[in-house]
Amino acid sequence: MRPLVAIVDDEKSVRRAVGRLVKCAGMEVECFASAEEFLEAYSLRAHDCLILDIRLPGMSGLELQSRLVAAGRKLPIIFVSAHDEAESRSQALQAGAVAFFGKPFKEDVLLRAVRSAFQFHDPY
Amino acid sequence: MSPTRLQLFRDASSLSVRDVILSAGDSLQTYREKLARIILDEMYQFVGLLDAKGMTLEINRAALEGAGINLSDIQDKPFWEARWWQVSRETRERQRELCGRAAAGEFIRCDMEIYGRSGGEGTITIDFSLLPVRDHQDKILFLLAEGRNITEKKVAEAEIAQKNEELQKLLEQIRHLDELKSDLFANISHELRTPLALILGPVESILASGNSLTELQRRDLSVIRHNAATLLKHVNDLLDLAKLDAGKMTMDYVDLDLARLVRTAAAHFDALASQKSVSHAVLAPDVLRAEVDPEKLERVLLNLLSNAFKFTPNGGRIQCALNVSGNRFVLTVQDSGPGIPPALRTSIFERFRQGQGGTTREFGGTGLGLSIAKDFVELHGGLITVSDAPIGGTLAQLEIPLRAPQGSIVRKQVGEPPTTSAIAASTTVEELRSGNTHEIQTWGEVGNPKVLVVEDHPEMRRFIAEILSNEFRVITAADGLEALSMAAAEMPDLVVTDLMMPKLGGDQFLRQMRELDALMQLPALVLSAKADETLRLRVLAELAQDYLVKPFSSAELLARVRNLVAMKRSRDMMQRELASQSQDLAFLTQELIASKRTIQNILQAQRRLSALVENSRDFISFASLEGHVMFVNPAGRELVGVAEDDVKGTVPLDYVLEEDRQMLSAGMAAALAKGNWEGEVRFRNLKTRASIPMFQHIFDVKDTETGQRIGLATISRDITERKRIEDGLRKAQTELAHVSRVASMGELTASIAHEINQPLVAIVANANACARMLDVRSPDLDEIRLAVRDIADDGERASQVLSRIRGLLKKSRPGKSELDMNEVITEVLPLIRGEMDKHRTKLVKGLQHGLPRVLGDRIELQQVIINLLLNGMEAMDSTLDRPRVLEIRSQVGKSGEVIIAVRDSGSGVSADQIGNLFSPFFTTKPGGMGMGLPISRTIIEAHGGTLGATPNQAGGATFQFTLAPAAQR
Repeated sequence: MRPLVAIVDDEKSVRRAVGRLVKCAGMEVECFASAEEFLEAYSLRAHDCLILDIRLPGMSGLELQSRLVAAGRKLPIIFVSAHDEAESRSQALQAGAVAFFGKPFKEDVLLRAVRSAFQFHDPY
Repeated sequence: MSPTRLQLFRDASSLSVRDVILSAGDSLQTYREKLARIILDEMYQFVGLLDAKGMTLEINRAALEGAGINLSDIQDKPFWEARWWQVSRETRERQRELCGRAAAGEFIRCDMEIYGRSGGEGTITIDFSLLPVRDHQDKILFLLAEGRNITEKKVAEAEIAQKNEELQKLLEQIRHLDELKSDLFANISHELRTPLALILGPVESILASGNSLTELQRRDLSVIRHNAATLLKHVNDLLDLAKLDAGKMTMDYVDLDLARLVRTAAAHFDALASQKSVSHAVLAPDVLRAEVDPEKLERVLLNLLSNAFKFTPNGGRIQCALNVSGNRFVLTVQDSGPGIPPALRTSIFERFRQGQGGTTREFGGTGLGLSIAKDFVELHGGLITVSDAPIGGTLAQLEIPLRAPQGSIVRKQVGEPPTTSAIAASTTVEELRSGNTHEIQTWGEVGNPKVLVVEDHPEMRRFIAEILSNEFRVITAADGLEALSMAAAEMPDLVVTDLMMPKLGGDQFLRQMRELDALMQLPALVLSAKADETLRLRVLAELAQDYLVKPFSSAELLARVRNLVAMKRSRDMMQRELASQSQDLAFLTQELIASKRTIQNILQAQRRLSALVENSRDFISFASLEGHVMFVNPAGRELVGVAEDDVKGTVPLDYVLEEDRQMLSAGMAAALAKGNWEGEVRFRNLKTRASIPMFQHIFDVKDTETGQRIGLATISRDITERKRIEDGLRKAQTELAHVSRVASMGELTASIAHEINQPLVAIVANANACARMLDVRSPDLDEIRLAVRDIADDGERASQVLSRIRGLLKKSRPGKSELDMNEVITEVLPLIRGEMDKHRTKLVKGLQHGLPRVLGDRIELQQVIINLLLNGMEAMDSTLDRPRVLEIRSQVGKSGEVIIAVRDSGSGVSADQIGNLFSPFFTTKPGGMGMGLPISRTIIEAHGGTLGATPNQAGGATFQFTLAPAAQR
C-alpha cells in the first residue's frame, strides 16, 4: 500500500501544489485547510506523515503538534513555514518534528524528508 | 465593733450574699469566717481545700458552677473523682497521683485541661497548684488546691508557636532561594568568563604583534580590549559575590612584604594622578611582613584608591598610609573629595548600592566594589570603617591582624603578584581616565542635518558619532543637563539619547526638553541597554519616536536616524509653507476691505480719483450699467496691456480668458443681484496673451444721494505668487503622502514578502511536479494541464500583488476614476495580513454589497485604508484583557454617500484628543511619523469627503470616512 501523506496549509494554491508534488513522488495525499479539519480526519484514518504549516487560522501548527504528542501519536511531522522564526523552529524540532523548512523549499529536500519520515514511523 | 462593720449594718441587722448571711450579732470570729467564705466564693479562680488524703472539704462556688457540681455531692469524697478531672482517664489518674505527691509534702504546679465551663460540658486549661498546709508540728493537715483559667493564654501561645513555625519555614525558603540565586550567579559568571577570555586573549596578541595596524584599527582594538576587561571585572565581582554568599570563598594566605604590595597598587594610579594634578602620597615603612591573601587585599586597596580618585576633584589630595598597631596593621586611604555623609556610611557597604537611584547616576559600576571589599576584609578577621578625613574628604581605614589565624596554611611569596589584579588595576584606572577627559566634540560637515548624541560612555559616544558622521553634523553631550542646553542652543534635527546618565537621566532630559516650546516637536531616538519592554513602551508612548536596544547594528541606527531626520525636515517645510500661506491670505483680505472702502468714497465724489487708486498695485476698474469699461487704473492697464485711450472701447469680458468669461458674467450678475461677488478669474494680457490668475471682487456702486445704481466696480489682485505657493504646497503634500506610503510599505515589508512568497512557493512546487510527471513514460496530461493552469494563476496573483505595491510606491500624480470601494478595500487586505498576525489581531469584514461607485484616486484611498487599519492595530497593542478585533465596514449612508469605517477595541480616544489626532504635521505621538492620520484626512478632504473619529461605548475608537457617489458629483 502506498503511504498516505497529510498536508495542512491554509493557502489553497500551496496546498494543491505541494500535494501534487508529493503525489507524483508516488504517495497518496490528503489536503486540509486547518489543523481542526485534519484532526477530524485523523481520528478516522491514520496518516503516515504530516506536512504542516506553522501559521494557521485557529489552532496553530505548533499547537497541533503538541496535541498529537500529548495524545501519544507518533506521527512524523515536517514543518513548512513562510516565517522561518528561530523560536518556532527550535520548538518544533525539540517536540520531535522530522524537519523544518522555510518557504520556498527545495522539492527534493522536502521529498527526501518525507521518505525518511516513513522509515521511522511506527504508528502503534 | 469596728466602724466599718457598724457602717455595714447601718440599715439592716442582717445582710446576705448568696448562701452567706452576715448578721450584726455575729462574733468577730464568725464575722471574719463569713467574709472569708464570700471572698472564696466570689473568686474567679478555682480554690479548694482537701484533707491530707485528698478528700474534698471545701470548693469555691465559681469552680463548682464551672463544672455544674453541688458541693454536697463531692464533699468527703476523693478529689480526683469529681467532674473536673473526668476529661480522660489519664487526667483523673494524674490528679490522684498529684494528690498523693502533695500529701507527701511536695508543692505541685502544672497546666491541666479540665471540665470547667458550660456546666461541666466544656473544657478549659488551668494553671493548677496543690500546696500542702502544715500545722505547727509540721504535720500535713490539708492540701490547698488552686487553679487559674489560662485557656486564652494557651490559645495565644499556640498561635505564636504556629506563626514562629511558619516564619521558620519562610526563612528556610528564603535561604534556599538565596542559594539558588548564588548558584545562578556563579554559573552565569563562569559561562561569561570563558568567552571574555577568548575575546581578550586574541585582542591582546593582535595589539602586541601587529605593527601593520592602522591607527584606527589600533584604537578600535583598544576599545574592545578595554571594554572586555571592564566586563571581566564586573563578572569577577559577581563571581566573588556568589562565592562569598555560598561561604565558598577561601583564603590563600601568603607571607609577604605588605609595604611593597601597597606601593605597587598605589603606583597604578601615578599617571592618573599627574593627569588630574592630584597629589598622591604613600606613607609606609620600608618593609612590613604580614600574612594576608594578596589578591584579595589588593582588590580592596584598588577599590578604595579608585573611589578616592573618582571623587577627588582635579588639584586635590590623596594619601595612602600603612602602620602597625599592636598585632594588627592599619591601612588608610584618605582624600580631599566631598566626603560621605554620616547617614550613608553604613549603607555604602551594601550590595548594588550606589548613591542615587533611577536613571540618573553619577558613576559607572555595579555598586559591588565596597561590599566585596568589606567581605574580603572580614575574611581576614579585620575591620573596615569610613569616617571624615583630616584633609577634608573621606578616610577609609582597614585594621587587619598581621598573622593568619592559627592552623592556616601560609605560603611564602614567590615571584610577582598575580597578573589578574594588574589587568583589574589598569582597567579601573583607564575607566577613571576616560571619564575624565570629556569635552564637547563635533563630527561631520557643517551643512548636513544636525544630530545631537547624548551618551555618558565616552567610547560609545564616539562610536555613535562616527557612525553618523558621514551623513550628519554630529554634536555630543555627556549627560542630560549638558544635552538640554545644547539642544536649545544648537536646534538639532534629531536627538539620539541614552537613558542611564549622570546628572539628568535620558527620560528626564526628554521630558524637560518637551516642555520647551521650541523643542517640543524635536524627534528623539532612545538608545538604551535597558531591554525592558514596559519601559520601552512607556518611553515610546510619552517621550520618543524610536527606541533601539544596545547592542545595535550600526546600519540599523543609521537607517533609523535617516528616517527620523527626513520626516522632521519635510514636516518643517510643510509648517513653513502653511504659515506663509495663511499670512498671505490674511493680508489680502485686509487689503481688500480697506481698498473697497476707499474706492466707494472716491466714486462718491465722482470727480477725482485718489492717488491711492492711481498708485495701487491692484487692478481697479469701473464699468457703466450698460457694460462699458469707464476706467482702469494704471497698474491694471499695465497688467492687461491696454493703453489709457483704448479703455473706453472695451467691455469687462475682454480682460479675461475665454474659458473664464462665463464665470465672470455670472459673477457680475451676482454682484448686481446681491451687491457683490468674489472669485478667482484668470485675466489675460491683451498684448502678450499671458494668463494671469486673479482674485476678483466685484461690487455695485450707488449714488449716495439718490441711492440709484450707477455701475459696477472691481478690485482684483494678481495671485500668481499665491497660486505658485499653492501648487508647491500641493506638490509637497503629494510628496509627503508618497513618503508616508513608502514608510508604511516599509513597515509592511514582512507581510508583503509573505504575500508574494506564497504563490511563488506554489509555482515552484507545481513546476517541479510537472517536471516529474513529464518524466513518466505516459504522462497524465490532464493533471499537468491543471498544474500549469495553477502556475499561471499563481503567477497572476503574485504579479497583482507586485503591481499594487508598485502603485503604492510610485510617485504618481493623483488621478481619479470611478471605483468600487469594496474592491479597493479587498485589494489592500493581503498587504497587511502578516501585520495582523504580528499584532495578534483578528480582522472582521463587513462589506455591504452593491455600493455605489465613487470618484477617487485608488492609490490614495488605499493609503487611507492602510493607515486606518495600521492605526487601529497599534491602538490595540496595549489591549490584553479582551480579544483584539479590528472591524472594517462599508455601507451606504442616508443620503446615498459611501461610508467606510474601521473600528478597534483598543485604548480609545477622548473627545479632546480627537482634534489633535488630525492636526496637520503636529505630533507628540510615538511610532512612525504621526503623519498617517493628518495625511489621510487631507486625502479624504481632497476627495470632497470627511474623515473623523468617535470613541466606542464598549472601548476603542471608530475611524470613519465618507465619500459622495460618483453620480452626484
